[in-house]
Amino acid sequence: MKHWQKILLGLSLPAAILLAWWLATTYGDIPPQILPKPQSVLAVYGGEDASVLLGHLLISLWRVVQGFLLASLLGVVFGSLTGVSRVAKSILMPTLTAIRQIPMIAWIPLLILWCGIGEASKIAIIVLAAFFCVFVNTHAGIAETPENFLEVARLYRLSKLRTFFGVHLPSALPQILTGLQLGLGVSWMAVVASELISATSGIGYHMSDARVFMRSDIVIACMLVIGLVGIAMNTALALLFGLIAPWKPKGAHK
Amino acid sequence: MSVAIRNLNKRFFVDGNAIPVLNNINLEVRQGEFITIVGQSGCGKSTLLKMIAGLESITEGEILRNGKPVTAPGTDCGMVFQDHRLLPWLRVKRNVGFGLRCSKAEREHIAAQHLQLVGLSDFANAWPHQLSGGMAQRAAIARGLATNPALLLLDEPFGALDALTRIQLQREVLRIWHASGATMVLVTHDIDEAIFLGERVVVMSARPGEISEVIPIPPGVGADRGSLDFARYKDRILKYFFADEKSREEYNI
Repeated sequence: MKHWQKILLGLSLPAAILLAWWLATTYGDIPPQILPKPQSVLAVYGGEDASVLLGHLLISLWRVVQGFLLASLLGVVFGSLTGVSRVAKSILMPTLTAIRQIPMIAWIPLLILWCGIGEASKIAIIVLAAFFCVFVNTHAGIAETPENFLEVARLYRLSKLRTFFGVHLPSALPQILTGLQLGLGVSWMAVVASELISATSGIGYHMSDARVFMRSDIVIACMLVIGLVGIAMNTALALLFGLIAPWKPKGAHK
Repeated sequence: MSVAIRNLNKRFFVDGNAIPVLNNINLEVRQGEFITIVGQSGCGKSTLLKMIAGLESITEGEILRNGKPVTAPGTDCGMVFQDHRLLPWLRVKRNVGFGLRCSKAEREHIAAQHLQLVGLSDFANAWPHQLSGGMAQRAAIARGLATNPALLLLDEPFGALDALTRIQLQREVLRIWHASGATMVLVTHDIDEAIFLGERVVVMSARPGEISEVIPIPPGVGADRGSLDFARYKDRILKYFFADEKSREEYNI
């Protein structure tokens, strides 16, 4: 199959859905509060609605940036510790594995009690959600550093610190990057979920606010933005990782 | 560097059971000598090499390098592994300079020198995955030599290579040995290689690994693989591995 044929086939399903949507809302008897016309969703991206949406989007993104960076730092540090040290693993692993079983959403009520509905609780949710993606992948990557490479490090009498930064970390880097990629996706989901449940700003809040006013066009417009931002973040990170780990053969970051 | 191995025993412990790997190994390697150790897989020859390098613990007995007991790896002892073990995240020149502790400029200079020695100057900036098997092994040999070790241990370094590349690299190792004057200990399962390279060939038996015989190869014999003397030595070594007459290679003179 040629490249353009694949793209065409991939686009055919969204086009069909869009057509069905347009037909149903134009010729069918569906109230606009339930399902708006495609063109009214599109209209949200222009004029005043757009600047409001953009404002909320930026607030959500800023929360993701803060939460994700904090979660990444914690995840890489703790994953590295448990990856190289059996003592650290024995101390941390059972507790962290137990905590990991609690769904991210189930933390929201407690975090609201602790931190209110402001920024702190949003960032805490993101950290909780993204930390485990980064932690688990970092731990596995570091722990599975090939013994062969560690033997080379021992042969040349590298210090523990230099072995970590020169062998463990680069060896685990592809898997750490995978963890970061997953973590960023989860961060985005977490922030939207927490804003939907309780917030006074952010794209999730904007959606639940629009629902109260029966503005299904805004709700759908927000959903599309959330999906597109998710794809954009994932792609940006994959491109960035290609620059960070250039020794990987092509296609390794997909 | 001289190496002395005395009454060496090595056992691995699996589920509390001791499995003998090496049994009563005694060997003296002279300064500047080229020793080859030949044996079947599983005879513990790689373990022996790792113990000389200080990468593997000694169960009983002792190994002395220049008269001093081996307790840990030392900077004057290099090793080349069967799998090249180049670090995939370092460019070839950084891999070659990996063991060096000196300024960056000096490290690059030494790495460039050794890449030239193994004919890889054009690939200094390549990633290891871009090299062919033979080229990667050359780079690994360059890394082993870059620290200018007085003792170089080679663990089946050509085992994974095609026959032509293998012969080419064997010649290069001989040339490097003559040029550097380092002591070389090479482990192999290839009898031709053992005779071609070694001044003495150590024949090992398997399970537990023991030295069957140490065979000195007179100068000139190894150089001509087609010669009658070469075939005689080969036959002599083969006898250790194929006790029954039929499976032995026959030479009609």
